Amino acid sequence: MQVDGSAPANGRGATVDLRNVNAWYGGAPALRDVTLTVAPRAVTALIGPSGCGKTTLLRSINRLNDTIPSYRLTGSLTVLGQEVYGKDLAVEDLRRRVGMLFQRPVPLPMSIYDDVAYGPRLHRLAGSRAGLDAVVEESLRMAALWDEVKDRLHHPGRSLSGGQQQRLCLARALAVKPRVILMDEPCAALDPGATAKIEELIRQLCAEITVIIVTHNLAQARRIADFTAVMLPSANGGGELAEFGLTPTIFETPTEPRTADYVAGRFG
Amino acid sequence: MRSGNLARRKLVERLAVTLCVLALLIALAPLVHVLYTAINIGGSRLNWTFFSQPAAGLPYIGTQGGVLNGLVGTVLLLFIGGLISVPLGVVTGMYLSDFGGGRLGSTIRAFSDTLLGVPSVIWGLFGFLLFANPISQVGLHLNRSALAGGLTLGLLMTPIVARVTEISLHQVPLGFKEASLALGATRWATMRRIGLRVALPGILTGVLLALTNAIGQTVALLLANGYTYLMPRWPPWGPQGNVTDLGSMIYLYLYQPTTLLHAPAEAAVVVLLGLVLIMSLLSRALTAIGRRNYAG
Repeated sequence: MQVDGSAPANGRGATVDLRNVNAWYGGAPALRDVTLTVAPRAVTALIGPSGCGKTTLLRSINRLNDTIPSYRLTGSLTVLGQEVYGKDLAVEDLRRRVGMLFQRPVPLPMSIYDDVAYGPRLHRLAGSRAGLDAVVEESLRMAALWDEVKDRLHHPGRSLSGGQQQRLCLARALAVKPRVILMDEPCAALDPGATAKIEELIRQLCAEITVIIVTHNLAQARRIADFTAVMLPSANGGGELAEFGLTPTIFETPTEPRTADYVAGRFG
Repeated sequence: MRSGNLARRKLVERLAVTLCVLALLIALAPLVHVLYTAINIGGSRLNWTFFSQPAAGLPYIGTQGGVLNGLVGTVLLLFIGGLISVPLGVVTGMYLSDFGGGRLGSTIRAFSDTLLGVPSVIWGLFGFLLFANPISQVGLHLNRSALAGGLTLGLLMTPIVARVTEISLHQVPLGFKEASLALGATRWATMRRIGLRVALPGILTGVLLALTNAIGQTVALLLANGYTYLMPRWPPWGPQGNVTDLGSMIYLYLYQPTTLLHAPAEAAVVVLLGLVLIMSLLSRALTAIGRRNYAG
């Protein structure tokens, strides 16, 4: 992507945009006044110590936190210009355009083929059996898994290695043609080799897809992220956005002293 | 000093284990005694004829022939019971597990749990009035018949199936559900496509549990189905719709004023216990499959 030194100035048309977002679990604050415009077709890393709301922020973007009854959010959060917590938004539609990759690879309890075809079948994206075959193959190719599984598409996904399982999950997410993919520490359970493969894929994907990745691995953020958002504990509980900018800037010349301490490994 | 302490703790340990084994033996004793008596008295009747022929004989029906009418009747009653309770119970369980968080859900759960404890005779009375009794004001007027008995069994099985379905669905790993929801699946689609698939062995275990429970609801069946020594006839409702169930067969054989029917009654006990054993082994096998497939 073209890096011009800043995120788009006018956030309203952006892929993902947060304005003064506050969130709570019951009475406990989780996010404090977060304002952030995510650059389209780039990789944005969310880093920071545990308990600073990185995962909360991520799971708000596709409203997966809806499963927690006490969760509450105020402010404005838009995806592709649409208010995510607005009344007229169909959450299933939102989640089709915003895919997610979890910390532990979760192959669904079915065959590799059915796993990748799960989303397209839900949303009736493929008209025919041949069309579905094509979507499955294309998605597995994009996740660099096709060559490894093409002869055993009808084996269970659980039979794959951890790294392959995570790429299968990526293929499943890609199969519904998302505009954004959220990743919650996708390499935390993987060995260095598998991690390198995923990172390479992320770099390829961001040519077309906006990637937002939570990671505890600072080196990983440096390797793959165009932009980095640092979330730190807020004085009143919960987490706040301490600094946001181009990754080299955040790591080499941060303006906030706390960011400097964090990226230098002085706490965390 | 220390070793003395250790010796004492070992003694307590041995005592505790002995007590546990003793308690187990006492609990098992009745079953062993029942089986021993049944085989002792009825063993001579347990041959192919007993399984392949309905009850016959004069002056007491049952002195000749076998138990086929009871086997077929029992299976028919359980089949109708399953036809009612599986869809009703599974859908109730699905609702309770994922949508039943509110006041309506806890009300349904409380009612369902109360139904688990309703005695056989009350189910029978209810089934008789609502399904069987041909002259009741409100009801299906089916007479004492297989359909009336099966419907009654279906209702008393439903809360068991619902409860076990709810528990099985609760045990589906959260990761599966979130992966499905994150792809844009509705909660219903997630439950249907992922939840039911993973919970299926557990649900089937619950159905078998409910069937095992239903097979012994003799009083309810006597009230709603009645009794006959004949093979099931068509249609399974109306004045000739009643069938034999094994429990009632044993009860009525033992209450005839003759010892001639003790042998077939005890042989029928062996058959009934065999059926229960088969169902319980099946449910154990299903539980094992479920654990192997999607543990964690």
